[in-house]
Order: sequence, then C-alpha cells, then structure tokens
Amino acid sequence: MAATIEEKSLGDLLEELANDPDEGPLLHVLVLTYEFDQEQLFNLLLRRELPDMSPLSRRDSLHISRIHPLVIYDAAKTRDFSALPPLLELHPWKSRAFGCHHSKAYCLVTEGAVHLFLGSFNLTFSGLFRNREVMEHLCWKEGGDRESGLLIREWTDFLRLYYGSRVHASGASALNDLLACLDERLAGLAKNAGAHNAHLLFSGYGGKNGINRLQEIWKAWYGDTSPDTLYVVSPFFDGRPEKGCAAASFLNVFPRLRDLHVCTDEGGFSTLSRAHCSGMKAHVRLIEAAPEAERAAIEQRAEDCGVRVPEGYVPERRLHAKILLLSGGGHGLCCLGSANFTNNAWLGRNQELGLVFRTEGDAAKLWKNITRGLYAGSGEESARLPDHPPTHPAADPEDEITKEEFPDFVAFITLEPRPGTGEALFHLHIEKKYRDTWQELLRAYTVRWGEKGAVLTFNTEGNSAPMPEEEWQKRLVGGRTLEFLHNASGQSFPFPFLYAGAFMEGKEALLGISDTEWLLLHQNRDEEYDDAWPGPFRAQEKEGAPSAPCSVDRRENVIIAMQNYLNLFGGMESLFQKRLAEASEAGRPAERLRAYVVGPLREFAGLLCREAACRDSTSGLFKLGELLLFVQRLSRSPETSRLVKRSLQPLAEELQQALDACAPKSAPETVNAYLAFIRGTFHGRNE
Amino acid sequence: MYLTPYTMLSEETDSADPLGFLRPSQALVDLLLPQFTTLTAHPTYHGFLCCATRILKDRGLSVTDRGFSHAVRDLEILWGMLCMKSARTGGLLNVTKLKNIPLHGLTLEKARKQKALYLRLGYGTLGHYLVPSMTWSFFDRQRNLTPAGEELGRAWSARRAGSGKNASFEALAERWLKGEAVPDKADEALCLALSVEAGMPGEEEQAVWRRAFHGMNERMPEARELWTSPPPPSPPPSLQESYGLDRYAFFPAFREHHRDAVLCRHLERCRAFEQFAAFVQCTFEWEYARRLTPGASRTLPPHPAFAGAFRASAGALVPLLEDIVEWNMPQVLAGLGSYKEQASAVIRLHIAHQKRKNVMPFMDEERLLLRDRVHVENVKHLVDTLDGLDATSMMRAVTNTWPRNWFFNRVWQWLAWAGVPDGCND
Repeated sequence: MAATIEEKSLGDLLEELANDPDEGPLLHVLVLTYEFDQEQLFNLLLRRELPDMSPLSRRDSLHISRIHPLVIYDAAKTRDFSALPPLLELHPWKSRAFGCHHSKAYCLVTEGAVHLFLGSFNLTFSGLFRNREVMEHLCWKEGGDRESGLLIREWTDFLRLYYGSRVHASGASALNDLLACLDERLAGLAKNAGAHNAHLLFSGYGGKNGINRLQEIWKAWYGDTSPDTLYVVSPFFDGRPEKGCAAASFLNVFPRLRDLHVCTDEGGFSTLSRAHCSGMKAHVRLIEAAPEAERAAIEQRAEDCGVRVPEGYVPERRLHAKILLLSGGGHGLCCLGSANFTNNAWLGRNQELGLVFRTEGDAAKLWKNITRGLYAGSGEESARLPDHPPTHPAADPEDEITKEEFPDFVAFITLEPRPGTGEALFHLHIEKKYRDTWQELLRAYTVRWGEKGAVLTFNTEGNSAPMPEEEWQKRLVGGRTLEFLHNASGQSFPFPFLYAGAFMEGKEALLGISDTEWLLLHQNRDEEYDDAWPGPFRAQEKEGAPSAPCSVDRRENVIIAMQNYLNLFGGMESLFQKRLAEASEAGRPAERLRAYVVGPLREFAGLLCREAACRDSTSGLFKLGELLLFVQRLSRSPETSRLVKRSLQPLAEELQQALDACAPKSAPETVNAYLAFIRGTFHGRNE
Repeated sequence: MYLTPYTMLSEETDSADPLGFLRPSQALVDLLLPQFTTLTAHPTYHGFLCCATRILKDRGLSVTDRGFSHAVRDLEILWGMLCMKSARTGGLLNVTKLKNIPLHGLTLEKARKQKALYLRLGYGTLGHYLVPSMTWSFFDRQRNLTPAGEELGRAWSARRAGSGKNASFEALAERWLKGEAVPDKADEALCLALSVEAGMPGEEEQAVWRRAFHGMNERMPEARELWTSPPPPSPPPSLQESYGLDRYAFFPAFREHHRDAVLCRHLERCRAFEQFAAFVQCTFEWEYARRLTPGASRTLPPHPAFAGAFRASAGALVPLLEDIVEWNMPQVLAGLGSYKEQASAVIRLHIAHQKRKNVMPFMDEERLLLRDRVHVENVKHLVDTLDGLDATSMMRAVTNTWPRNWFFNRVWQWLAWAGVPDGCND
C-alpha cells in the first residue's frame, strides 16, 4: 500500500465512481459512524452531489428500499430521524459506560466493485465539507489488486464477527444480504491467504484493544526491532493524563519509545501538556485555523465548482484527522482511522476502526508529507507546553456520554404485522438484565410514535395495541422513531425501530405505493433524477413505449383503471425481458438476475398479494395471475438458460401459492374459471 | 491516503433557508421582478436556451418530450467545450465537470459516457432558465417557443464571426449531434463570441431584449419605472453602488428617485422586510455563535437598543405584508419586548420551520444540534463593531450585514446588455 498523499474529499471519490461506466448501480450500503446528517446520508445513497438538499421523492424512497442500507451509529446520537424512509435500517449501538461507537467506515457495493472508505470523518456536514479529515479508499473487483481484496475479506470477517450478533430483525437482514454479496465477490480469492502489507485495525470489539493488536502487527512485520519514535495527529487527548494517557500506554507496550511528535490544532494544543508525553521527548507542530497558504487552494476549488468566496470570508477548519505512525530501526507503520490519541480509543473503551500499513523505510518522510498536507507550521511549539493540562479541558464532542435517563432497558424495537389482518404493532425487545424490571422502568416514560403521535402503551409481552393499516401506513412517512419522553426530566429520547415478521418477506408493504405506482415508477423517467436509474433500470427508449398517466387516481372508473394497468404491465414485460437478456449475458449473472429481475418481480408480487388479500378484489387476483403467467413465460421459453429457470421457478411457485391463498372461498364462476386456467398453465396442462 | 479539502458550497446550500425567509421574500420579488431568480445570472443563457430549443425542435423534440433535458445537456456540453476553447469560462454553469473532460477528439458518444456530465439535469441552463424564460415570454405556458423566443434563439446563434462550415453554433451543433468531434480548429472568434463573458451582443439580439422589456412593462406596469428610469451609474457614490455597499441608505434614496406611488409602496415593503429579516438573522446567528462555546454567557442582546429596534421593525412590517403573503413571524415578534423573548421565539420558529421541511434544526433553546451550518464570523465581527454605536448606526450596521436579493442590479445589468443603460423607454 503506497503512502502517497492526495487532497480529495469523499464527494470527489464518489464522483469518480459515477464517471466510471464499469461501476454500474449501487447495490448495497453499510455505514459505520458516530453520528450522521440525514441529508448527507440521502445523497450518498442516491448518488447525488453531497451538498444537495433536495427532498426525497417516492422514486428515491423506492430506490433506497432496494439498496436496503444499514447505518450503525452511537445510540447517544439518535435524533428525530423523521425524514428517513422505511427500509433504511438504523442500528443505534449502545456502548459500555464512558465509551462510544466511534468507528467510521462506508462500504458501498456497486455492480462493478466493492468500495470501502475508512477514515476519521462522520457522515456529517462538518465531516464532509469543513474539517481536516483523513481517509483511505479500498476497492476490490474481479482481477483487481489482491491486497485490497484481502483487506475487504478482513472487513467481511470483522463485520460478521462483531456486528452479526448485534443487529436484529430487518437490520440483520440487510447485513446478511451484504455479507452474502461480499462472500460472492471474494470467492475468487485464495482461501487462506492473508494481507501482507496492511491490516484492518480495530479496538473495543470482542475484548481486543488497538495497542495490543498494533504490537502483534509490528512484531509480525519487523520481528524484534523496536520502534523508538511515535508520531501522532490528533485533535483530542486524554483529559487527566496523570490518571493514564495514551503515551504511557504505548510506552508500556513499546518501551523503547523516546520521541513523541504531535501535530494538532489550537484547540488540541490548549488541552495538551508535558504530562501527556509520559517522559518522551516532545516535538509539537501546530496547524493554524485558517492558514494563508491554504486560502489560494480553497478559492481555486470553489471557483472550479462555480462558487464565489465572499470577500472577507475566513474559512476556518477544525482538525479531526487521526493518524499515528511508529518508526524505528529503519522500519515504520502508519495507522489512520477513527482513534484519537487517547486511552479511550486505544485501550478498547470505545469502538474504533482504522487501517494500518507498512511504510517504505522509517516513517519520517511520510510524517513530513502529512504535516505539509495539513498545513502545519514549521515552528517547534513544545516549549510552550505547560506541565499539566487545564483543569477543565475542552472535551471531545464525540465522547458524549449517554444520559442517565436514556431508556437503556430497550434492546431494540420492531414493527410487526398481525397475520391475516392489515394491522401492525410495536414490540419492545428488552435487554436481558431488565427482564424483570422493565415494566416498572417503562412507567417513567411516555412513549409516542413521532413527536405528536398518540401515546403507546405496552402489555406484559411488550406489545403495543395493534394499529389499523391506514394509521400505521400514514405514520411510516416521517415517523422512523418512537419517542421516549422521560416524564420527570422532560428529556426526549428518539429510538428508531426495525421491521420483523411478515414485513421481512414483504418489504414493499412498507413503501405505501400501489401496484400501478410501482409500474409508473419503473417506467416513467423523472428527468430530475435521471441518474438514479442507471443501467438496466433505465426506462425503455424505443418508440411505442407505453405511456401512462403520471398520477394515479384510485377512484377512477374500474375498466379504465384496468386498461391503464394492462398498458403499463405490457411495458413492464418488455422491460423485464430486456433485463433478463442483459443479466444473463453479463458477468455474475446470478447476482444480476437477483438484483434486476427476480428481486423487483418479487417486490411487485408482494404488492399484488396485498391488494388481492387485503382489498378483497378480483382485480388483484387477475393481476397476480397475469404476473404468474409472465414469470412462467420467462422461465419456460426455449431460449431461457438453466440458471434463469432455476432463478425464476421458486418465484413462480410462490406466486401460485399466493394466488391459491388469496382466492376467495366463494368466488364467481368466471373467477374460478380463470384460476383454473392459471393452475392449468402452471402445471403445463394448457398450450 | 487522502487528506480532505475545505469545500465551499453555494450560499443557498450552506444556509438552506433555516428561518423560512424564502417564501415571503419570493412573494415580494414576484410583485416587481418575477423574471429573476438567484440562479439567473446572465441574459446570454436565455439566448442559448432558445437556440437549443430551436435546434431540437427541428429534430422533432419539444420541451415536454421525454429526453428533452438530456438533449439540452448534449448541446450544453458542446457550448461549454467551445467556451473552454476560448479559455473564457467565467460564469459557465457546470464548468468544473467540463474541465475534467479531454477536449481533443471529444464526440457526443464519448461525452455521454461521462456520467457526471448528465447528473442533475435540472442543474443547468434548462433548470435555471426555463421558467424565467417563460416569464419573459420566450416560451408560452405550454413550453413552446414563442415568436420572441425564436427571434432570440436565431439572434444568439447568429453571433458568427467567420465563414465556412464551422461558422455558427447551429452549424457546429448539427455536426455534434451527428457524432462528429468538436473540431480542434473551431473558429476562435466564434468561441469567444459564444462565451458568457463575450461582452455586448449584436444589435439583433439587443433589439429582441428591448422588445421583451416593453412586453414585460405592459404586463407589469407597477415595475415599469424600474426599466424606464434606472438610477444613473455615476457619478459615484451612485445609487447603483449603494445597492451593493449601503443598503440602509439605498432604499430611502431609491424611493426618492422613483415617482410611481404603487412602485414606492412595493419598495417600502422590500425595505421593511429586509430590515426585519436582518434583525432575525442577527439574533439567530448570535445565538448560534453563543452556543458554540458550552457554558457561554447568558442571553445578552448584541446592542442595548437592539430589542426595541427589532420589535419596531416587526411592527412596521406586519401591515405591509397584509394581502401579500401569510407569514406569522413578524406578528409573533412584534409582541415581544425583551431580547431574551425575541431570541427564544426566533429559535422556536426555526425549529418549527425545519421540522416542517423534515430536516434537523441547527440548534434548540439549550445547545447546538448541527455544527458548521452558520458562518459565525459575520455576526461576531458585527457585534464587536456595535459597541458604542448609537441606535441608528446600529440599525445601519445590522441591515447592511444581511442584505437581501431584490434583483435591481439585474435590471441594470439586463438594460446594459440590451444597449439601453439609461432606461428602455416606450
């Protein structure tokens, strides 16, 4: 892994991906972060420019649901995520006391490659546009850099081991889909090979801490040579170094360390002292908030984006990057990621994640390039260090401790449908240690769905009263969290919920769109969001593509509605035939068939089943029947490969079962005749 | 390893209207100058849009057709590449994306593979200028080119400076759409003439614009004087200069300059709105700045006379907005006497506004919720300078720190473009 340094933002790298015709659409997203802004999360998922503030359209929600992203963040940073659509899974990670989920990683899987961005930035406005952050980008595709592939494998194992057991319900489903995809993509890599020059480095998972792991890695690479110099870029340091500090912890493990080089900004420097150096010789370089040398670069970049820098505007930047280098005996290694130079980070109290790689020779040259890239002043500031830090040093805002009143007894919450009805209810899943006391604890809170929702009460099994379909469907939009209002203190704690039960199989029920809207969303091209539908998702260009009204009037004449539906359905058939042909000819056909043909058809089938079952309509049965006939035609065509047949057959069987289940007991003769015809076709009795 | 750069965003993105000013200020702008928006920076874009629409109409594509926006982008790329050839890219939309594309041998097919060029089709000439072009009557309500739009497109394309097969934009566009590469030797003078920084257009184009001004004045007589009697640009300090430099002084003098009573009442609305909005913005940013330092000082106004002046500005605005726009913020603040109450009300209104938009508030009564959303240097610098000022000077300083966009400068810019800087008279 080369230690070259470039100035680029996540937005720049994502734009490069968008420029690459081999990348294809986004299939999976997983975010590990301390906190995030909704707007930046949407833009990442929709591949919009990161500063975009446009609201979500229905099409966007459908697109996001198909990616089924998972965001794991620190529970203390749960906010009122009203704008988040369903099927964007949220997992608030509850750390131990005085620790936090500090890891930052962004895993994007496109059709063409797996991308992993590791670094120091949260998915926030500051993290993406303002702070000084550090980042590394790993990319794995077939025939790509083997070392990157091995690191992605380490990442996959890490996720499976440390997150697999923590996520639940629909969140677990999203993670499992991602892991299955990663396993498939990595199938070509040799099984027992490990990375040679770089490793994932994590702390606070499974009882492991970063320092011990670093020691193992140093030893594996450099044997008995000991490092003598430690270089650190950090915005924060231990608050009470006399009670223990990162420098002392490193000395414990690497006793030959003599020199400590620190690069920080004014904010960090104000909390630093000789006590933080634990007897090592201190060398300190400062980064100014607004170095003149950087201004020209900022103005040029702004001009390139067509933005004017107002006169007198002073772009101030906060240091947020975390980098650590060890050097000695002509060898070196570099770590970058989420870990500040604190004991919380390196001794496993927080969850931290980063990357460690070998440097070429010792780390001094890399350090020089890093400090230049951060616009650190050339002066030596160690003489200004006080012996001890201030009595009340500024705290790391990412060390925010979960408040006492937080409803800690709740492990997670699910929204579950009641079988056979359109109703749904919330179920509280309680932490083991509170199994006997949770009801008493719950009395301290008033729980609502959303800020102005009705109060929810829970029975002894942790279930809320069932809600009719109209009510929960309506509330899903703009209601991603339950609000726990602590009655005594007035503090409010939003808690996102997951989906469980039959919702897991029929996710489309949560989207609140009708079957006709689904067809419209697939076939009408919204010019504003043209880029949201690249590749096989593009609507057809050929002449004669069916037109349909762009709005859906559910009250319109039934005959006209069916005619419109059949018109759209015909367009869908052509679209999916084309997708089938493209997917079959492309690389990884099984994955593409799943993503572009079987998955969407299953999603559509779910919508039709709901209509047939819940609305008790014969038109629903007819639509299901037509879909089944279409799927059968696709799978039985002589040109269809065995792979396609294998992919479609289960779907066809599911549709037949659904049709049987939805058929009313006493249906009119025409309906029975139609159903008999469908069954006959399914079993190959009809021509 | 990547170290991340500082990214400047457009003012609109940075602020994202956290106080809900956009709707009422747009309502006031629409009373006088609905043909301008924050995105309409230069009249030449109207010319390009009309020209592109003409070219695509000849190929059977109309504005309402699926694929039209994509096709406009095809032509926008050609136009952009010609501007790049002239090395005059100032004012060009999406210039940063074009700079990454190799110019030599570029064909439409190659350009279409650059996905970044086709991201956000709404962010470009079509998205920014179509509706304003309709307001100018270059397009009708069905989005068809009007005779005036045809004329403008023809005149814009006729900026030919040479001869031969590359002599006009339309000729180059024809070849581009057929798949030919941007010619390496495209006429430099033509490229210069087509660039946004080209300078004055030809007489034909200017005449089209003058007729457009007349048409607008007939439809909006209350704004006529803005077009017929602009304030002279010199000698300095001119009224045009004070629009940019001293907004507090600008409005009274601007009203004095004009005679039409209806126009003057509109101008008073704008002035009162601007002053009130400045007090609100100042309060919002000051409270945001205070919350940056945890445990910072208790609520103190930026100036002893601030609360009184704030309340008075709210009270003055309430009657002026009746029948124009429904907006409860002035009414709420007109009833509050102390700065503490005013600050609390501004934050509550901000929270309610953000929640209606389904986005996070920047702060609540106690603390910051989102960092880096406000450039606090402005307000910090202002509050430092308010020390010791009298009430009038304080109001001037506050108003001038947050001027609104009324587009009077666009009137003067468009008049100059059309060759009538002293006014377009009937």
